[in-house]
Amino acid sequence: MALLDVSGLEKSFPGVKALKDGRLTLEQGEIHALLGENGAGKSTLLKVLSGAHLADAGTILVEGKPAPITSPRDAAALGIAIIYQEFNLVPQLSVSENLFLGRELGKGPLVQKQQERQATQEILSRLAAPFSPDTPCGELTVAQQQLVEIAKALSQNARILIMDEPTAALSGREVDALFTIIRDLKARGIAIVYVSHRLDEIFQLCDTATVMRDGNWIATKAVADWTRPALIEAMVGRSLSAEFPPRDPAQKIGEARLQVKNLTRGTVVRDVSFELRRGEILGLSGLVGAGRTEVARLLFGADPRDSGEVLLDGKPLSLRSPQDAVKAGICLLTEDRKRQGLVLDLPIRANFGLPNLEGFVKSGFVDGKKERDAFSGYIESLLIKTPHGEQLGRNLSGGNQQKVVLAKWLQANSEVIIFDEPTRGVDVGAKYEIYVLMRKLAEQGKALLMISSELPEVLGMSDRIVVMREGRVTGEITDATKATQEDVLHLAVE
Amino acid sequence: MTNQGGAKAGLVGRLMRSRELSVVVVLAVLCLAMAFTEQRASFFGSRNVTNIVQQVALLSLFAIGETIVIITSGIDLSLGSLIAFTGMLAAYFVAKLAVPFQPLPAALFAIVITLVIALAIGLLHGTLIHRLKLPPFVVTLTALLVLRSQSLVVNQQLPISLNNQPFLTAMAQGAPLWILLIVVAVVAHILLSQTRIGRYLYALGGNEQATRLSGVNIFKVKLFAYGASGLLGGLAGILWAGYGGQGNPQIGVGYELDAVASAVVGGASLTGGRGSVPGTILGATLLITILSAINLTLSSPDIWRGTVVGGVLLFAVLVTAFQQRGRSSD
Repeated sequence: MALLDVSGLEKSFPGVKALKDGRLTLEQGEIHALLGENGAGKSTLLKVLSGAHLADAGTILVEGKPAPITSPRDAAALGIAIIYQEFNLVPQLSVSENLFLGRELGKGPLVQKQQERQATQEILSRLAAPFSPDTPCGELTVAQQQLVEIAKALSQNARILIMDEPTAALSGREVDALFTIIRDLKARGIAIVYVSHRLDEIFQLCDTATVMRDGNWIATKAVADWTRPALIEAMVGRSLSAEFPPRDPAQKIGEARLQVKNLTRGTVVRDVSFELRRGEILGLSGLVGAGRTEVARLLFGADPRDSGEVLLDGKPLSLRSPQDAVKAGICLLTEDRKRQGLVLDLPIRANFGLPNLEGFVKSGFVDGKKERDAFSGYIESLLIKTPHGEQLGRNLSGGNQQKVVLAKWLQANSEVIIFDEPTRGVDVGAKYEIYVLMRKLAEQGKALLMISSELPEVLGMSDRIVVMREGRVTGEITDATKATQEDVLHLAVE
Repeated sequence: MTNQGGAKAGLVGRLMRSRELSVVVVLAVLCLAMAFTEQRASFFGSRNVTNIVQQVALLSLFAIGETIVIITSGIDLSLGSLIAFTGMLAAYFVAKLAVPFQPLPAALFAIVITLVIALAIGLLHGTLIHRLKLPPFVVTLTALLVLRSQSLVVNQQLPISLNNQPFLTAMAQGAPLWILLIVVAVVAHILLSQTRIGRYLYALGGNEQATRLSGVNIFKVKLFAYGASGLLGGLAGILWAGYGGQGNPQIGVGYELDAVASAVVGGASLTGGRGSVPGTILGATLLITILSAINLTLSSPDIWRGTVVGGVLLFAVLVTAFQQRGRSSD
């Protein structure tokens, strides 16, 4: 009998039916991948299972018995625990206080702190966690906080552990450590629902994969029976001929536009030099924490450099603030669009206008028509999916948000475009569109610097690759078309 | 980063980390400085010390309530008016009940009725804030205006005398007041540090979403916080009335900010998740002592009061922000 059997699950929100036919069958000790594009209904399904949402219809059976879940407490009582991408820890509370939040040990109003501490210590030892139960969670690294979340699930005697994009913010080594722990949980009979956009991880870790699309269940098969193209096709609903647009054989890479010489900032960026040429996509690779984002921030003037030089078309730049960078024609598309790229509560047209208002001003007033017309042009040319320019930033999907940010910088006449994780949080289908746009920009003679943690993306998109480790450039691959993942990894780790 | 941390972990570093200790040090330095002024005799004189102690006790009572609210990342700006309003109510009920009852039972009845109303006001704040998702700042600022006006309404802007009420007056000073404060402080401290509700208060202030998803009923937690603040504000209002011998509709202007300042000086963070009862009492002590010092040294202390309270508050917020920055970059 299946440990968990969910069928016919429905859930509507005002205006949308997020879940039309949610199905999921879990066996004990199984690592079950749940895949789908953003908006496919994965999160809604998981939130119903964890008691955060109440389903409109459908059945949930746990070991064959009907299990209505109406609150997080119900879910916990059934042994279902969820670890969200955004951790749910209270930074000011200690590890043990977080572990027992909402179900403190001790009778009556008093809390048995010593007991909680001991119980926490036991679980932490089992996970070989290198911190004490008394450490405030706010002082832990992301990977350590994830361990706390796992410990929390274990302390609830979870039989089903749901993990939403658990590797999104981890470095390669941390991912390996996490996989070891997940396999250990599996060996103890815990069923794991694993949500990830990284298909490599699915094939590496999971036993079974279920694909959802538009709120519907599409297919469930053993991972061995899936292929990468088949998974993508099931998720997108049409076959993608390739993950990356083909290179134009006639593509011409020109002279050096951006020259970076001995760029240094503390210990995070050390003596970094490279050049970026006209019509080129340069991949900047390395593990999380290698200093790639820090280099981007220096080039964008967001942080001051200690030493080194940056030249654009041979002229040295001072880059004391992002304004300097924008004026010089350098722009940065940050990895965290929601916090650093867009004002979510403003219309996308206003987001677009933000750095470009000077061009739309007529005798002291913003000429709204001019701004709207300019933006309409981009909606068409960049294929931004939105009913109109007045849509709020938060109502767009990740891929379309990225396009709005791109439109904003193109209007600002950017010549050097830095992409930090250009497709993070972007659906498989929309990824391809972003890639096509990047190629087009390169063909127009812009110079593109792409930071990416996804090796297939680095290899599939870059013309050249520069690899960093611990703040230094460890190597350059001059012909990315002939490189393999091993070549890049070799330079990225010791 | 570790190197810098090591260097900072000297004496100053340790002082910075224990907020209670650093407040005590500042307090000691202040007293030491006062010993070198001409006013030392009057500053350390028994009358002034008694007065300081009295003020500290009255302020601490409602500052503890404010601390509980601040821990949840809320704020209660209604306290100054609530103190005036509940003082008026207590005096009003004492006067009304004086005919059918003896003075003592009349006073007790008046106290109970006033406290129930104060609690209800606090619970109303909590309900509006949670159910209607209004910012605590807006809800309690509105209450600050309404309650001030209502305390003027009670007796057409005039105070109500508490003559013939030796009980209320006795309760509001000396040993009874101190016993009351100690009871409130001990109960609040145990509540915050040892009980479920205490942990929920900190959790709510630290991460509301996580607390809700842990199965905690956060509405109840907010009700508790604002209810406690209302109740303690009501208690302070009754005591202020007893201390002054009258219900005074003009009293308490700006007291809510004294309470916020005490809590923040004592280590509470306005972004929530931090704060303690001992810290707040020490904060209140420091604030009152500073005010007493300027009272004796400046020729027109009243016009400087706002500058001093504001300055202390700003300094405390700066130190807290600095400490938090230090922590997060470790």
